[in-house]
Amino acid sequence: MPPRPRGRQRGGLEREILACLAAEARPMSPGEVRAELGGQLAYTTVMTTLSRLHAKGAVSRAQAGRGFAYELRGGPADAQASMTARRMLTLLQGGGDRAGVLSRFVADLSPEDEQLLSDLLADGGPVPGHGSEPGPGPA
Amino acid sequence: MILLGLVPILCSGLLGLAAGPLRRRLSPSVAAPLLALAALATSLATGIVLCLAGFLALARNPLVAALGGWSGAGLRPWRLLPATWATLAGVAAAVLLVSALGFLAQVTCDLVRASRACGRLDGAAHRLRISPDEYPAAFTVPLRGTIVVSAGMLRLLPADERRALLAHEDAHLRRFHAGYVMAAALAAAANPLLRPVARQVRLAVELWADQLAAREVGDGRVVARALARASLGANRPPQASGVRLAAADTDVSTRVRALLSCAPRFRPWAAAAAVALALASGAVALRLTVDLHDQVEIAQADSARVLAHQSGDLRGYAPRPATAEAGRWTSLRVTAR
Repeated sequence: MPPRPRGRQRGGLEREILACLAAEARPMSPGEVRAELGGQLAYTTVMTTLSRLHAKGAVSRAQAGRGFAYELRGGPADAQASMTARRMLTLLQGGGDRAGVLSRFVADLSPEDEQLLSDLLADGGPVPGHGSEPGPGPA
Repeated sequence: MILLGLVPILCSGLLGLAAGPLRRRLSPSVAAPLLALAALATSLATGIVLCLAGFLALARNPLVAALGGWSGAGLRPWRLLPATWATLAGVAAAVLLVSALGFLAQVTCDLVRASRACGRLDGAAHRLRISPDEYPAAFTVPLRGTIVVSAGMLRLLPADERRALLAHEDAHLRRFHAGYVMAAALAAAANPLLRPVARQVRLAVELWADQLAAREVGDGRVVARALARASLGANRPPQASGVRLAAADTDVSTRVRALLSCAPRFRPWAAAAAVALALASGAVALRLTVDLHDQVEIAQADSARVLAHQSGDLRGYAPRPATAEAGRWTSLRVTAR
């Protein structure tokens, strides 16, 4: 399919920057965040979004050189939050989500799936379609 | 008339069998709402028909007939339904109703629990909460409208795939995907024949979110890679994982193939088939309800006529004590005619 990039949804960039800070787990300058996110983002866009996140209290910042370095507030080592997250994940995995109220990004894999996905990541090219999906043939 | 009652059951069976093929022939944004609504309609119709049959089993009981003020023998066209079948249908209706109510209770409980757990996570901006967990996980919490991603998942993915993941989860929230999934699951709880439909709706919703994420990022392959990396990471957990869900729960390879190939063309007949099944069962349920209602009214009038005849006067008769209430009502009806 030739999808046209639609650009980000509202709040998309805020989420991405937050995710980036969480993944790196260290104070980052707007320049570093921009480099990490890649793409054609303007420096000022990243800086504006970071200061908006700071105003909302989602990130903390400290003086670093001439500018600021931003970090995720709370930090990944927050004990109580970690416990809550554990409980939530147990709810998901231990059959607690019997009704399936949470939609998860990934599910469990069959050995076939695992092979297919490993191949995909290895060459990054198209995967040979050895199933009936999504052709109109018999299931 | 009796055979007509089988139509909703037949339709649910057909919808269950056709769910997979229909989903494959429709774009996910059409398949998810369509299948969910069709499942709800057929499930409701099946429930109504079973309840009617169960009511009939009760209505023939002389005691109930006396209470309701109709003659059990008056429900003539319905006499063809054997009493054991009617009783069985009534029991099935009760069991399925309890199952549906149980499902609703469970969903409410799980939603509230998940939402509460989510509320205790450290705050973040714009519907995103990051759990400081190392285990790679990502999901949406519908009641709260929040995306939860673990730090482990974010570390696993490069920036463009993180964006794809966030776009996928955001699509779930924006398009109210949880609603379709819950509706189909409720229908399946009330009618086990529709279980395959619920599974297909769940898959269609994932495909739909993948599609929207691919559109936002501009490349389906990025979404496919994110999916592959996340699935492989999540399936090699650092700790022993708990109960495993069925492999067919959300078919990852189906999603990857869909992302890497062309979108299916819109096939109107596939959509029409689902609509037809829903409409047929709905129409039958309505028809049978109206019909049974008419029959009960006729039987009530019959019973009143008999009573009036016994007392020898159409207007000022003294009703027998056992049917005093029924007699009062039906005498009004008879004098009105």
